[in-house]
Amino acid sequence: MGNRANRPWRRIAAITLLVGAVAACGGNSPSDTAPTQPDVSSGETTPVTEPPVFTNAPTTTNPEVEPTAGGSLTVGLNSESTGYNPTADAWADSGHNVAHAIFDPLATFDAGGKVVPYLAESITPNADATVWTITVRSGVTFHDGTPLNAEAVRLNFEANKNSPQFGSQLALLGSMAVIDDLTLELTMTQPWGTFPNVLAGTIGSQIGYMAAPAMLASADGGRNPIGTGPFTFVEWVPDDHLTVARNDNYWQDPAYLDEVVFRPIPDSTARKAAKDAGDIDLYYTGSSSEIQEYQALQADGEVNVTIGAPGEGDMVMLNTKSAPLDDVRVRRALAMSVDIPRLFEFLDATGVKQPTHGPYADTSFWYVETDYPDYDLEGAKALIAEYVAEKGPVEFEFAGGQDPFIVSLQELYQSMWSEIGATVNIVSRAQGENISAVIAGDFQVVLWGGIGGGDPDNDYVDFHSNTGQNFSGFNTPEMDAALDAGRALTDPEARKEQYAIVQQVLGENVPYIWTGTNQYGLITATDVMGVADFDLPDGTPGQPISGQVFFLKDVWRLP
Amino acid sequence: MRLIASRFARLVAVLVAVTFASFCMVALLPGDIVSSVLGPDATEEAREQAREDLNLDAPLPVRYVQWAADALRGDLGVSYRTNQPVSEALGERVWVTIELVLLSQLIALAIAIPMAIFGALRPGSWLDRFLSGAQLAMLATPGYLVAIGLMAVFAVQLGWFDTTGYTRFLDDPLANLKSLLLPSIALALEQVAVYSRVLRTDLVNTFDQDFIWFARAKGNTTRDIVVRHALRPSSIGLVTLTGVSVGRMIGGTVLVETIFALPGLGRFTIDAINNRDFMALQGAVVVLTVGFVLVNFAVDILHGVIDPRIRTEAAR
Repeated sequence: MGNRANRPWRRIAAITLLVGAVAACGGNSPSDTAPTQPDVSSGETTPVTEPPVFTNAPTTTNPEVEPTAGGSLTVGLNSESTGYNPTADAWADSGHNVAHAIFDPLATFDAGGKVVPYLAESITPNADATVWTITVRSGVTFHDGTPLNAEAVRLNFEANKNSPQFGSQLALLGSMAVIDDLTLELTMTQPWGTFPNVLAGTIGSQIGYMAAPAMLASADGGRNPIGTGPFTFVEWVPDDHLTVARNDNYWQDPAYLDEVVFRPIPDSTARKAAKDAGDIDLYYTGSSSEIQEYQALQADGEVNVTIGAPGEGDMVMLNTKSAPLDDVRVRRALAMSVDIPRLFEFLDATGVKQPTHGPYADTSFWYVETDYPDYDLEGAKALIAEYVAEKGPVEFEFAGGQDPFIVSLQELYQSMWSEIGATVNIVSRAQGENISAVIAGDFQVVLWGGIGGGDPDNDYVDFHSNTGQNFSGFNTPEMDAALDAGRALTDPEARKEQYAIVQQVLGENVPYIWTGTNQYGLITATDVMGVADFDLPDGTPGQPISGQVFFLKDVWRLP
Repeated sequence: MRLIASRFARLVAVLVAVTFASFCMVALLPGDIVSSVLGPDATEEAREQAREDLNLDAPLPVRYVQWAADALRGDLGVSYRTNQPVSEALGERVWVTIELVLLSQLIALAIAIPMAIFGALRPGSWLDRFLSGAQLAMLATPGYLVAIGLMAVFAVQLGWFDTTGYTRFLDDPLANLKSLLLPSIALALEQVAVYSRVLRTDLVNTFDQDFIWFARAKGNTTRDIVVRHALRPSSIGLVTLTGVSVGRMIGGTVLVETIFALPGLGRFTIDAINNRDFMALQGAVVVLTVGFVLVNFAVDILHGVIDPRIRTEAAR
């Protein structure tokens, strides 16, 4: 998850995710519980926190059987992407799964959730993190035979920098210089300690995937992707399937599978049916009821379930520029009257979803306790009564999507807020329309997503006053200063102190109402092995599933 | 010849009206393509640039005329979102939808005609009442439920078909048929009720006419009477309805293609609307409109074949 990328998707995703049963769009961050150390090249691991919660299904790997090459795997995706040019096409979250097969990201996560070089040999900062040096591995070639070198990497960064979608992610990138065939030097306009985070190819960040220069130069490149990944592109029939075949010239050990077929199946019921009928071998879901149902089947040996770390949370965003939400008493009262267990019951999240009390999950390294209000109906009523006596009735519009489930969810909030004396008018808008309205500041309260979860620097543009993308309209000089300081620092503990300030300010002022984490389960057929395996180039274990994005190079099938 | 010329003129008029209407409707919807393509985090300059590149600031009629001029030259433009030429995208998808609609029409007729005949032979009998009850049930069941139900029974439980996905006819004709059968049935069932009720009523009327009594008096078998004498004069209404219902079916393909994950035109159209992708939408609307008008043109000609009086009137 990067500074910024693909945010529309994350947001739409997060909003869509609320459709518990609709399952599984949505942002999740791999680095939720572990901050990134700046020196990603040293290989020294000094974990500053416990590794992410990662409850692998043990049955996905059977130690008694040796992995064998061969076979085909059909993966069900929840949505189709518009194209596979990492620098031009904003992917649906599932696009990253395809991208992980065709491309390699410059960096990825080790088993502890720390960002480590992957396609890059090393990614090293100077002392104040204003100059970063990327050295790529030698002998790596793209699928079209051209070599991966510093110039190819530079072309990828340049294309991203010039891309209207992703340019803002590289706003701090000043200039680039090719030092030698394998070394690229990037000079930042200000210290950027968390730079490698955007290179890990996760939901929200496509910058790390390296595409062949020929592909970047072609107008048709997005439909004929060329990477360095474990699988080469074979064919794509949009909305039907995308097929990739094993890359036998891979720079690591070649993958086991002969081919992988990705099939976008937008309807969640149909996706589940396709899995039940054996038409697809693997899919992921964010619906906790579905996860639980499969966990029961797993006990009978019928299916395997692998669960990733919790991701960014669901949330409600308040427009602090718009009365009555410009009054902190109203905002606190709204947060105090949200009954999380009642909400979770509705969202079908029995036990899988965890309540959140700020942008970062309670288990996150970054989390600090703040004055964010607890559930307190009487207290909320008192605050509202105080406001009403002073300024008049509390009435506002509550915007969300058009899906009936979303509307029902809004009605649940409406009933909770009515109890404390607020008049809530529900507004339903199409996704594109909703995003446009929020950008234009034409909203009061909205179901939103895509904030929080990962590295706090990722939320810079959402929280800082100078970005034009702080849609809640809330900021303080204190918070701006902490965000700037956190970005420049490299030591995790020192950064945490800054982000503690941010969380404290947010907790007091409540521009957002936090509800709970998102969680994904990977559902696989019992003969699909190695889903929870992923080795880094040096042989040490990496993080195989980041959110709902998974690696396929070590996946194999029982003969 | 004159008939064809007048039909062609009508086709052009319909095309202009429909494409302009769809252009306006999408423009009137709040939200714009720039938000959809660039997302909330693009800078204001990038947004402005994109608006300029896509010519979104020009007045609507100007944009329409530009589009229409290009379209007349056979250039349907490039999708705002995917940069793929629209004609290429449509070419990949149109066959799925044509096959789907054709197959479901065949299925609907294959079920509806026998139902109508058996009902009409003994109007008011228990069989007639049972059939009409069954038709009502088909009409009343939501398409989504039918689709998911068919999938659950025939694909998941029995494993006779694939739950989702599409195989191209040229790759494997049999697999192609298999991949489209369940979606076609889901699309057909609603039509069955409408078709068979119309045909049944027309048949009941026909059975009451003198020439049928005459045929009976000559000692023709019931089968002969139905097939040789009654069906043809009774089928004008059904044929008209078949043409008109193509439009309804195209609407239904949106749902069916989404559930069964078929790469057809319906899914393409709804994506284009949701993302305010004018170019893609306009292309789809042109294809759908031309298809609809052509089908109904064919229906008009069929009328002439079925009933010679229509031919002579048209010639006069």
